[in-house]
Amino acid sequence: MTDFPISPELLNIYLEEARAHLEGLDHALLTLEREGLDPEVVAGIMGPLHTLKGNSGMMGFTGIKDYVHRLEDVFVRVGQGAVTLSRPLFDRLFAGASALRDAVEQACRQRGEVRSLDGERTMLDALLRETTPRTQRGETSPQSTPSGTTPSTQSAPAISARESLASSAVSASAAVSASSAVSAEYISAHSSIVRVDFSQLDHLLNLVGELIIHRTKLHELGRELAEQKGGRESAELLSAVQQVASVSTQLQETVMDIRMLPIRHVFERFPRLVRDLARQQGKDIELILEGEGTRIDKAIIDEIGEPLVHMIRNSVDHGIETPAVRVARGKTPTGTILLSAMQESNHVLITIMDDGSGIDAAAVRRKAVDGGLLKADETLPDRELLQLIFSQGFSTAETVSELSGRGVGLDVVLKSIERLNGLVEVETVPGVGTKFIIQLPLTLAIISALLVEVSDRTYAVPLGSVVESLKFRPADVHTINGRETLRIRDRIVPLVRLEAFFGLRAATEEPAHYAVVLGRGDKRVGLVVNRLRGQQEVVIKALDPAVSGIAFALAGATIMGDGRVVLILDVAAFFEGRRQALAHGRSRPALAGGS
Amino acid sequence: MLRKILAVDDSALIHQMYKLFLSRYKNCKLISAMNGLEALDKLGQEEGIDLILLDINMPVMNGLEFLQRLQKESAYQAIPVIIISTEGKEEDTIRGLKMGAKGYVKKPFQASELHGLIEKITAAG
Repeated sequence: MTDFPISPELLNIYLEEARAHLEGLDHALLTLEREGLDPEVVAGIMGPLHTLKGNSGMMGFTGIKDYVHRLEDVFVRVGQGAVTLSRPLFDRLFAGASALRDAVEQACRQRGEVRSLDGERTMLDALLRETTPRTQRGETSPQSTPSGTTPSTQSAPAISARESLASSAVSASAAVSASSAVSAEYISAHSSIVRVDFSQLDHLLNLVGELIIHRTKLHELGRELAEQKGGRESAELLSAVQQVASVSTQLQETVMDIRMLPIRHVFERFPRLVRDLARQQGKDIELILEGEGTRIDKAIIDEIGEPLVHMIRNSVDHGIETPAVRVARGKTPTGTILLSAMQESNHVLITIMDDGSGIDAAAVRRKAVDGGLLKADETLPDRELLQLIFSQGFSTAETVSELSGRGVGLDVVLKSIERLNGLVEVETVPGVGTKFIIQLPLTLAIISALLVEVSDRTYAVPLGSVVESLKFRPADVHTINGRETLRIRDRIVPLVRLEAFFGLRAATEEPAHYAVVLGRGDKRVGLVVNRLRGQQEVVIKALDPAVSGIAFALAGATIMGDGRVVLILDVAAFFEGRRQALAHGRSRPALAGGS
Repeated sequence: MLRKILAVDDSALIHQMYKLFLSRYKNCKLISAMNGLEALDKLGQEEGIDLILLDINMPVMNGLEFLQRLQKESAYQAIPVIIISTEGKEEDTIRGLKMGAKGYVKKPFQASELHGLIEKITAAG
């Protein structure tokens, strides 16, 4: 074994590279299974496997190294057309790839090999025995000399004894250079890249946040000074402050940009997941990925994986039908799931669309009534009714039957997405398919906000959710079904009086007569406030979960230029009236401000 | 005395290991390239490279292609090359040695092995 001390840093680098190589392995297997033998795909995986083998050896992970060595041999035979590409073969290779991944992950966690790959290696040996290589290549024999029995270093003159091997060597470099295509994509990314701990980027962003806070304060002071005193100095001061503002904005954008990663990092695990789930359930599913290059804050990348796994699983389990059912319904036997990402202004939209059985609104309704989420005589538009599948308590074990199984765990998905200041909507056509749309912010760290005054306090409303803000007269307010509303053009917008919502003392000087209209999909809610204070970039500081989140309608806090702490509203809370109130037993103040 | 070593490998892990390994050589600068093409670039940028540690199996331009190009450039012909090979590609190592590489080490190698070989080659050089 090597005498290099294996440090956590080396383990990290090894793991990161191994994951990319294993992702490449999954990718190659999926392509071969779908499209049949393609020598380029086979050649393309040889490079990553060879590097993985070498690296595993250097880390002292002999079992992993030996397994990968066998796997290389298998791919050589596959490339020669000596192995029949059958379903059972792919099942064995996929199972082996999973075991390998498991062994790598565990070895890195435990700082030594724990997961034995002996069984899997025996399986590959058997496979190699079943097939005969087309051309005799000494180096790829499964019974090749075990490492360590021959000296591994030589200087040039000593090699002559082994030159007999050289005659068969000519073809090898072609395979090696052909491997460039795929492995370059995974590996050349390292080139000219500096490794930085993400926590350092977090720290940098915090510093930028502080800078922005002080910049805002400087700007305010400069403006006041210019207004009060005038003169050349204060004009120069103001201009200097504006330059600082411009530079710090660029600094902020650059730091944000450094934190962005393509969503590919999340998506790349799904082809394999869908393949395995589909096989288990006897379904035929094609997963189409789009917009994998869409970039989003790493902090969100780290969190969005699990909810997406859940939703993709849902689409496979409950969306796509078995081939027989699909054919009976006049569909193609192969179902399709589309997973796409795109940026839209300062949001990223992730869509999961399947052409499966859709969700039956009547079944959702029955389930909601049974679960006490809806009164038997209560009517809801289908769109709102469907949103109930995200409710806590909607999903229970018995819903696994029929179509309503969609609800399993979706409340957990919703919570995760809302923690990221995101939202999720569902659209469905029974018999045709279902579409989930997740909207996420590009970043969690800094947002544009509208500052509003309620009673004597200032709150920040995320600007991304503000459709418009307007002044109204008390006479414009109409009470419909016990709820105050405002007619804005041709739309009736329900109002929420923030003063009452937060249980604040009524402001003495002036009545609340501004409405900040929030939008979520095609829904609108008007927040009634005393005054509008203008827009500002704010740095989000997390609040203790015990006092933040949707139940408190607070997404976090921020610090103003003058040092005051301002609470940031969680916009989602104002759209969750019915569902939240039902799920939380009306523990929150009623959202309709008229009471 | 070794002042500049060019390490060519497509794995960040191996580069990190070289970095640790070469800390034993005082005042020796490590220059890293992820493939043969990058290595040729680095040769053009850095003067006075004393030794090249060369992986064979790399994307973009592999080690053998790199060696071929190296041998055509009179300015670089004299730089000793050590091939860092991996089990299963012995024939490539032999080709590399025929193309002028001075020696080889097989992964997984011991730091002491590589050290010994470097001593031997630079002393002979």
